[in-house]
Amino acid sequence: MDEERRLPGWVLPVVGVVAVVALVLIGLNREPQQFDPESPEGVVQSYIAALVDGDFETASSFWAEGDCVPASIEPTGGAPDISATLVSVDGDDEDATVVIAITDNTTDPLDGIYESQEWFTLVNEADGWKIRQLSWPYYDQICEMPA
Amino acid sequence: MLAVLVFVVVAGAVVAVVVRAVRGREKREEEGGLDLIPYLILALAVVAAGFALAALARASLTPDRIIGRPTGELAGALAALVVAAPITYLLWRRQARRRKTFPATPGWPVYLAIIELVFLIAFLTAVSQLADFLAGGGEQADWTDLLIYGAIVVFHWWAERREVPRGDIGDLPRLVGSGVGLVALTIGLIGTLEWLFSVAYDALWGLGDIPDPAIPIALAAAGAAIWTWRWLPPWEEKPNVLRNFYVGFVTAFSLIMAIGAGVTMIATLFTFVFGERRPAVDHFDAFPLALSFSIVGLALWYHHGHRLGPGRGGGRRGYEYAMAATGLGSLVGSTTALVAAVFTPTLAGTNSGSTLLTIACAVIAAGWVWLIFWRKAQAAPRAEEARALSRRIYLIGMAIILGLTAAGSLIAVLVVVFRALLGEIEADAGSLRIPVTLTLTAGLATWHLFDQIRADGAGAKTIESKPFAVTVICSHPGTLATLFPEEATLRVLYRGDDAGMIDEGMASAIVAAVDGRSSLVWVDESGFRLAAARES
Repeated sequence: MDEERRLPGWVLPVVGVVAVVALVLIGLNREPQQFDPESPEGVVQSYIAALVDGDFETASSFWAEGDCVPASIEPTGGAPDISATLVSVDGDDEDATVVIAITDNTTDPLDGIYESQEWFTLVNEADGWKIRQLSWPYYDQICEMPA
Repeated sequence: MLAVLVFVVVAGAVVAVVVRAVRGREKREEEGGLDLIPYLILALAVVAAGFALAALARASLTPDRIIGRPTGELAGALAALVVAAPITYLLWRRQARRRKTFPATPGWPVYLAIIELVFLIAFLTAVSQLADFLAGGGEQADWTDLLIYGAIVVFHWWAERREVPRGDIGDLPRLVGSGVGLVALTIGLIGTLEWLFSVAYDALWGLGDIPDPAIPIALAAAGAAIWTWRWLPPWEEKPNVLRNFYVGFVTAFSLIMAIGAGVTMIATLFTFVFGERRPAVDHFDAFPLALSFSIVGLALWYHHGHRLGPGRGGGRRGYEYAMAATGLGSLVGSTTALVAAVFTPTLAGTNSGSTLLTIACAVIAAGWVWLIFWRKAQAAPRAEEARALSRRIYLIGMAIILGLTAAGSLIAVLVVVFRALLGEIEADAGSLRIPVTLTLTAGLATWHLFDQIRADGAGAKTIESKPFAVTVICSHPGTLATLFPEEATLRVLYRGDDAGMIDEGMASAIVAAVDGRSSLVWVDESGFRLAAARES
C-alpha cells in the first residue's frame, strides 16, 4: 500500500525548482518600499537613491549645513551598487538616527556578499531633515565632521 | 531567462556527475558497512541547500527594500542551491534504496543527528530573533527562517518515523533533539523565572533593572515543545550506553547547576550577616538569577534522576562518578583559592570577609559533594565496581589531570627555590603560596586516586585467581550473564512460569550479593534468595 501511495520521484524536484524560481521572481520584481520624502527615513532613501544613480549633486543637497563638508561630493568608491533595507528609526522632532542594512552587490564572485549596517544622524533644519553625520559611503574629507 | 537556463544546465551537469559516481560505486559494494561517508556528504549538501534556501527566501520575502534589488543575495543563494540541491536529491534517493538492503548501518542515525543539531539550533535562533522583534527590541523579523528551518526539521522527523534508526546508535537523533530542546528549555525557563523574580523583587524592594522576558519565554515554549516531542515518548529499545551517558550527564550537570546556585545564595546570605555591610537591596540583587538556576537545576535533576535506572547499572554509576569528579576538582581549586585569600596581604586592614566566606562555602560544598558520591562508589562491591568504565575514566582521568596540575605547580615552586639558591632573587614566601598549596592539594588527590587504581588492580587479580559457579533458578535471566565477571560460570534453570523474572536492577543486586562466591540463587515474585554453594 505504501508503495502505491508514494509520489513519483520527479514531483519533489519539480516542486523545489518551481518554488526556487518563484522566490527569485518575487525577489526581483518587488518594488522598493516608498517612504515619505519629508521623513528622516525618506530623506535617507532619497539620498541613497541619488548616490546609486550617480547623481552626487542631488545627494550632497541632503547634507546639513556645517563648517565641515567632504572635499568632493563624489564618494571615494564612486556610485555604489547596493540594495538596502531599513533597520530602525529613532529620534524626536529635532534629531533622528536612521539605521539601514546595506548589501553590496559585488561583481567579484570570490569576494562574497558584503553586508553591513550603517547609521545616519539627521537634524531637522528649516528646509527639512538633513544628514549631519555619515557613516557611509566614504568621502575624502577636509576635517572632522561635527558630532 | 538566462539565469534559469544557467540553473538548468549546471544542475543537469551536477546530476550527471553524481549519478555516474554513485552507479559505479554501487556495483562494487556488496555490504552495508558503516555507510558514513555518503551520509556525511548528504548532511553537508542538505545543510548547504537548507541555508541557501533560507537566504533566498529572506532576500525575496523579508523585509521591504528601501533601495535596489537583492541581486547579490539571490545570486549567492541560487549558486549554492544549484550545486547542493541535486546532490541532496540524488544522495537521498540512493541512501533510501540502500536502507532497504542495509537497514542498520550507523550512517542513517548519524546523518539524522547532524541535521537535527544544525537545524534545530538555526530554528531556535530564528525563534529568538522573531521574539525579540515582536517585543520591539529586534531590528528585523526573518520569519522565513522559522518556516524553512522548521520544515527541514519536521521533514527529517517524519523520515525518522518512517524508517526508524536501528543499532547501537539508533537513539542518537532523539538524544540530540532532546539535548538541544533541553538547553533551550533550560535557558528559557531560567530567563523567565529570573524575570518573574525580578518583577517581584522590584515590587518589594526596588531593583531597577528588570530583564526583557520575550526571548526567554519564546525559547522556553519552543524548547519545551521540542523536548516533549523528542524525549518524553516511550523508547523502543532498552537503555544503551549512549542513552545512559546522556541521562547521567544531564543529571550530573543539573545537580551541579542547582548546587552552584545554592552555594551562591548561601554565600550571599553569610556575607550579608558576617561580611561587610552593603544595602540589602544591592547585596541580594543576584538572588533572582541564582534562585532561577537552582529551581530549574533541581527540576531537571529530579526528572532525569528518576530515569537513571535501578542499581548501579544504567546511567547512575556515570552520574555519580561525574559528580565525584566535579567535587574533587572543585575541592582542589577552591582550597587553593581559600589559602591564597587567607594569606594574601592587603593594602590596608584584613582580607575581604565576603571573599573568604564565599570561597569557604565553595570548599565545604565541593568537599561534601565529593564525599557523598565517592562513598556511594565505595559502598558498592569493588569486584563489580573496579570493572566499570565510568570508574576507570574517573580514576585515570582525574589522576592525569590532577597529577599534571601538581607536577606543574611543583615546577613553579622549584623555579623560585632554585633561583633563590642561585642567588638571583631573594626568597619570597608570598610568591610560593599558591603553587605550594596547589602542589599539596592536587598531589594529595592524585596520590588518593592512584591508591584506588592500585587497589582496584589488586582486587581484580584476586578475583581472577578464583573462578566461581552460580546456579540461578528463575523465569528469565535478563542481562544477568553480562554483569558477572569472566571468572563466573553461570547456570540457569528455568522455572517454567513468569514469577521469577530478573530485571536490570535485580541483576545488579544479585551480582553484588554473590560477590565472587559460588552460590545458588532462587528468584520468585518476592525477589531473590541466595545460598552459598560448595566450591567446585
